[in-house]
Amino acid sequence: MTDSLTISDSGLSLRPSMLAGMQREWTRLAQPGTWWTGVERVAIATVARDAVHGSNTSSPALHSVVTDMVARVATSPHAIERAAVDSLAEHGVRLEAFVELVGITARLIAVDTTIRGIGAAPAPLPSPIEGQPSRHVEPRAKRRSAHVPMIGAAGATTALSSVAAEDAAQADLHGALYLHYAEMGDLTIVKEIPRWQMELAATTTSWINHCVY
Amino acid sequence: MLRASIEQTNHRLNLAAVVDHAQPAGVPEADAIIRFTHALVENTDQLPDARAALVASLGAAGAAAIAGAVGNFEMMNRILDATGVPAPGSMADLTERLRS
Repeated sequence: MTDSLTISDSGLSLRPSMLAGMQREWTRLAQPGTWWTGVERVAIATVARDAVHGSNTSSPALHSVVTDMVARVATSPHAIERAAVDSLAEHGVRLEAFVELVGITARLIAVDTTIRGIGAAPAPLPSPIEGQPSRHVEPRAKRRSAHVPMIGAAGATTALSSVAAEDAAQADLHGALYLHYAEMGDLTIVKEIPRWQMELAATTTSWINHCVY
Repeated sequence: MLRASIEQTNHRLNLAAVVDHAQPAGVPEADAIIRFTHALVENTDQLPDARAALVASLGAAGAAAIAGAVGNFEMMNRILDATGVPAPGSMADLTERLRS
C-alpha cells in the first residue's frame, strides 16, 4: 500500500485534471468515511478489485454479508434487488452504509478501468488512515422509489445523496474523468475529444453493463 | 445524449454497432471507440490491439479521454443499478428484457 496514487508508465498519459481527480479519490478512500473506517473503506476497495478479477473476496476487516454485497456491486449491480439491500439491516448495516459501500466500489472500478484503459498496471491501494466514521445522518433524505434514501427525486446526481461525502466524491470523479455536471448540457463540448465520442463510449459501456438509465 | 450529440455533427452513425460491434458504425473513429470499449469493459485479450487502433484513430490524448469516459460510466452504471434508481418510463420494456 501507499499514500498516493502511483500509475506505472504505459506510454499514454492522462490529462492533469483526470490524474488530479483520481489522486483525490485515493486520498478520500484511505480516510474514515461517514459509516466505515479507513481500514474498512480500503478493505471494501480490495474486495471490489478482487471480485472484478474473480479472486477470493473474503476480508478480515468485513462481515461476509458485506463482502458478498461488494462483490455484487462490482460484478452484477443490475441484479441487486431491494430485498437484498434491506436484508443488510439484519446484520447491522444501515442503508446509508450500503450507499457508502456502493460509492467506494464504483469509484474504485472507475479508477481501475481508466488505468487499465491506458495500459498501466493497477495502482497500489492507499494505506488506511486511523479514525472513526462521522455517522452523520442526513435528515432530508427519504426513501421513495429507489432502494435507498435520496434527497429529492431519484436520479444520477442524487443516488448517493443520503451520504454527503459520497455524493460529493461522485461529482468530483465524474468531473475529472468525463464532464462536470455543469458541462452536461453542452452537446458540443470538446475535452480532447468531441462530445459524441465521449457519449459513444458511455453508451457502449452502459449497454455492456445492462444499465439502461 | 449520444443521439443528441451526434446530431450536432455531420456524421451518420449506425447505432446498431454499439450492440453488435461486428457491424460497421459508419464513422472510422466510432469503430475504434466501440471495439476498445468492449475490450476494456469485458477485459479481453483484445485490449492491447484495440488500444493501439484507438490511439491510431484519436491520438494518445483522445484514447486516454475515452478510457476516462469508460471508467466514469463503469462508476455510474454501478451507482444507478445498485441504489435502484428507476429507469425512465420510456425505457421500462428494455429494462425488463435486459434483466430477464
